[in-house]
Amino acid sequence: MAPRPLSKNALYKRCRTSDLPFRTTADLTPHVGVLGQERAVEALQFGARIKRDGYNLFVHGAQGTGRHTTVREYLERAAKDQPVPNDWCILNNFEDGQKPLAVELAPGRGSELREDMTNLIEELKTAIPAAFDSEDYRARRQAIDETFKEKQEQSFEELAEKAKKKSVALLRTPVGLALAPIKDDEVISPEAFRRLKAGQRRKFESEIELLQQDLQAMVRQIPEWDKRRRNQIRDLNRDVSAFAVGHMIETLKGKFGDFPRIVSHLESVSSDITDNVDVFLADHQAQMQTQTSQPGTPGNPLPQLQASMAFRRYEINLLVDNSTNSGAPVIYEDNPTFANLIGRVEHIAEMGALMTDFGLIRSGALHRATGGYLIIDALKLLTQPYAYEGLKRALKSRMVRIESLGQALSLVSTVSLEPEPIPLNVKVILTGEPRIYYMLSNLDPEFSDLFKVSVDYGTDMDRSESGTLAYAQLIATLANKEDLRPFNRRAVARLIEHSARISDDSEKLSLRMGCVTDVMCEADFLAAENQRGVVSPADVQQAIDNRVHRADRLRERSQQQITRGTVLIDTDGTQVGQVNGLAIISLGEFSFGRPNRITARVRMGRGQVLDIEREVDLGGPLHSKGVLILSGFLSARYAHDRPMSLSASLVFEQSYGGIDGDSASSAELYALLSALSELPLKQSLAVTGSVNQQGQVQAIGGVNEKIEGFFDICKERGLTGNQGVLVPASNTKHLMLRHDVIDSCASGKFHVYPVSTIDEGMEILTGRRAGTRGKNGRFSLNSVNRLVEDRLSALADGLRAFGCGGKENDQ
Amino acid sequence: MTPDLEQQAAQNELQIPEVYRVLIALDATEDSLASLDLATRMAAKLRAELEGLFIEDINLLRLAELPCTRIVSVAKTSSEGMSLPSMERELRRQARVVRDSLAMSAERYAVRWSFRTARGTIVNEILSAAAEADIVIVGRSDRAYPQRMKLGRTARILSAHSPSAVLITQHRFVTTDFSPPGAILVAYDDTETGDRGLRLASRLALSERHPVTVLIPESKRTGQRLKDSAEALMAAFGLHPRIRMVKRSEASHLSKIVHAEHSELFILGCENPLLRGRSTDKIVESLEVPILLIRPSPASLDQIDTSA
Repeated sequence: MAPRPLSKNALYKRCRTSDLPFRTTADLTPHVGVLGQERAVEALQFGARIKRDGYNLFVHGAQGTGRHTTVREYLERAAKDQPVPNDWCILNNFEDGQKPLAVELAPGRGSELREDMTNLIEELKTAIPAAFDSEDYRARRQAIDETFKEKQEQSFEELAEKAKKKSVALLRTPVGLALAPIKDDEVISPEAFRRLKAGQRRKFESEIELLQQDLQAMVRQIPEWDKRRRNQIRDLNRDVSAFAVGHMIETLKGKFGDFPRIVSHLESVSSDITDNVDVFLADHQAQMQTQTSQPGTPGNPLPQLQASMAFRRYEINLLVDNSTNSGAPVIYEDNPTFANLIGRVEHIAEMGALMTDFGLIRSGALHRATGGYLIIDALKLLTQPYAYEGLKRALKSRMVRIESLGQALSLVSTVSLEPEPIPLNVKVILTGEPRIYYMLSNLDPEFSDLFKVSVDYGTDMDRSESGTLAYAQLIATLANKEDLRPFNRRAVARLIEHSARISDDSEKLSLRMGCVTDVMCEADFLAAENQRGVVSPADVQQAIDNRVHRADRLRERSQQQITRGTVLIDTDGTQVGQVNGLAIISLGEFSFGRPNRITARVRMGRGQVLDIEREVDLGGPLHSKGVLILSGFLSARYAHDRPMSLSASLVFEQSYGGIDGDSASSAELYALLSALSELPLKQSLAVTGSVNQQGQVQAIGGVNEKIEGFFDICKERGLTGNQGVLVPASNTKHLMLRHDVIDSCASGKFHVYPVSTIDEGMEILTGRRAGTRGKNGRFSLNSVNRLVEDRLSALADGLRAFGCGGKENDQ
Repeated sequence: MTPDLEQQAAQNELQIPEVYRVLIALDATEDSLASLDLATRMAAKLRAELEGLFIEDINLLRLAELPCTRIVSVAKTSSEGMSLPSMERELRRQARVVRDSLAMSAERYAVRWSFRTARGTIVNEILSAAAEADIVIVGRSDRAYPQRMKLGRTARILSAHSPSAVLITQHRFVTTDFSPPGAILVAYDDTETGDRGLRLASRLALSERHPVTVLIPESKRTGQRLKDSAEALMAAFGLHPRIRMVKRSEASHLSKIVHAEHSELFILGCENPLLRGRSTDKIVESLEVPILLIRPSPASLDQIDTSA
């Protein structure tokens, strides 16, 4: 017996205001915790607490489920009770400048050290020049220089005296020292020399030859003397600078005595300063010149610039500063590029070249989150080149090694900095949609080792009495959080109903609170426009309608194509082998249903049901599967003891964009059965539902949109009272239809038929009994099934006859 | 004359340059080029023209032609001969270096400048050129004896016979380069050279606000008068010098006084009583700072015994 149309109450599950014991949301206490996500919260708590390798979290759930907000709020609460992690400083490595040191200090001590070092250098800028300008230093330096000069002068004078006695002068020329014969303190002219007797000339030559050997021996000694002088001056400079620097460094060493690496670094600083006092002196000199130079006199900024660059080596690069934190850090990296995660080495342009040093090393999110939590959007992470790889490498090695992408990929071989890696102690929380989680799980073998905790945010919750009230509390909380007007009880009820519609299930409530919040904000806006202090159900409905209206331009256009006859859809009369199927078109957040004409044609053949959509690559695999299933149904029901001598073709008329899903398989079967039985189908009805090989009609998605899609066409053309939609009976619980649809159904102008089997559907569509097999094994006379079976038998007979005839002819 | 009138007269006097030409004898040595900066600054302060003189030493040209001459250099392991063309070429190269340095330095301090080369003996050429200059600047050591501590022959002869004032420069320590402007120390007496020295000191001090210390030989008869006179003269320039009376016993330790006063320049008239019975050469040798010797009057070159 064909099922009766669904009653008004079955089409929409209202939210009873009696279940909402409050006047407005202002009367409700805010909801504490995360509604409907108990499993996710439990996983989150577990993941955040467990301190084991690889127990990082992947929080997955649909957009708008509040996964990011709730995770962040939970972690921030949890982090408050955890210890503040240490600071990290990058220091110059005086032994190997290419490999800066990374040193850990207690929280707050890093900034203290940085300030102390800055002050130290500023003090030394005046203390060192003062020490070198002292009488004591000048005297000692002068003594060294004079000793050297005296020694050199003495040697020269001795040689010059010795030469003079032999009438030879020692002279400095532009290219070196020379010995020449003299007379009356003047070098003998060449003419005069030539006039000398041969013996005198030879004597001069031999004397000069001997003196020259002495001179060469003396000249060879000059670099050695000068080296000794420079060593003495260097030692003196070291003594003086060590005196100026020593007590200041000792003070700092005492202050940071509990950090052995800092003490060691301070010793290196002290040693380096004593070796490079010239930098401090040059800086002081440049400053003095700036102060004393007359206005307009061009100065040379280079020495001061060079000095300021040289002082950088003593600075402290505070990579991670936790001085102002009150618990463990919770960092959300909004732009998770490789460099933003791992850190980077920046460069500055200096005299046309790009230079870098330890002071230009910048921390990444992993550094800042060390000792706490790092939240990253998985999709953003995956769309940044090599960011995911970099993150995994850091998590696996438990070290953060700052390097450029070029270095990491061995693309760049120029010398750059290799800072000491920093131990990584961080809990990484990736958030993303479930498909990303499952994709990574399937494709990346390392993923499951590194992200062992899955925090699964559901998209809906049960619409029980207690759940409804809790949901109302959540609405109140959201209204409060978003600073919205209170919602009255009926407005809340309408929101709850809308939530059920979003979840496509009258017995569920959507936990994609982003959508609900948007409607609430828009309803609040409308209430404000209408000068209402409390948001009413009319505001909520108007907000929902407005949202639909803003998004449904394409739906309107699609509907117009049908009502104007461009796309052929009958809503009245009957046709053999033709049925109105229902498809759903999704446009992002908005989707709508649209009827499609499905036709079937049969002829004698070899048991093939030809899916034209598949043949032209417009049908997806699920659709093909549906067609194959209905072939199975036909064979099992009507041709279990004879060959299926049928060749049928199925087509979605005027479908040009491809089709997938098996929700049209029941419609295709109805068309096929109609074509076989030659019973016309009512075109005032549309059909949806998938079918199995037993002929049972199964649930499909988007049932509400599909019903509304056909209703809108019928309404446009005028409701006749015969129109309606056949839906799977198992979809009844999903119905949350529009009010105009419900009203039309209530007044008998439109009908929604719950169908469990193909037989029920055929009965409604043809108005004829489907028929069951009698004791004789045959279907009852004139029933749908009998007509189908007879037709198939006739086709089989015909094929057999045709086959024999063919053989005879062949013979 | 009232103080106001004195000041007016001094201001008028400032408009008239005391020094028209500063001559600097240059070679391409480091000391010589270091002296160039001092010379340019001085010319700028005095609004004088700076003349650079490079001398192609006739002795060097001669030795280049001698067959027995060998050059010994720290840059070469063995000695080698030298020809006249190569020596001339080297001297021309040095002249270019010196000229370029002079041009650069003069441009930096916006000083009028000129440059010329001469060939001859160094002393004679400088003395000859000094006749046209108000101040001649020479290095303390001779080219022949590099970094020699004793006063070179050229400086010695010029300090004794130059027709103009002689500034003998010193090799300076690097640490003094970044000190604040040092004091100008001037020895004052009641001679014409003492008066000129004080006026020069005033002009030099005015430009960079150098502190000025005036040394006056202690004398019951003239001490107070000289002090009043020096103060009045400098007050006319708006300067207030420190006056230091020098006992006869201290005169032999002028270098200590110069050092104690943190002087940058010592100006000394050649007729100053502090020099009586003392060798000017010894005093110059004992100093660490440049000394400007104010010569009494132009001396005749004919009377100079350059072989001294």
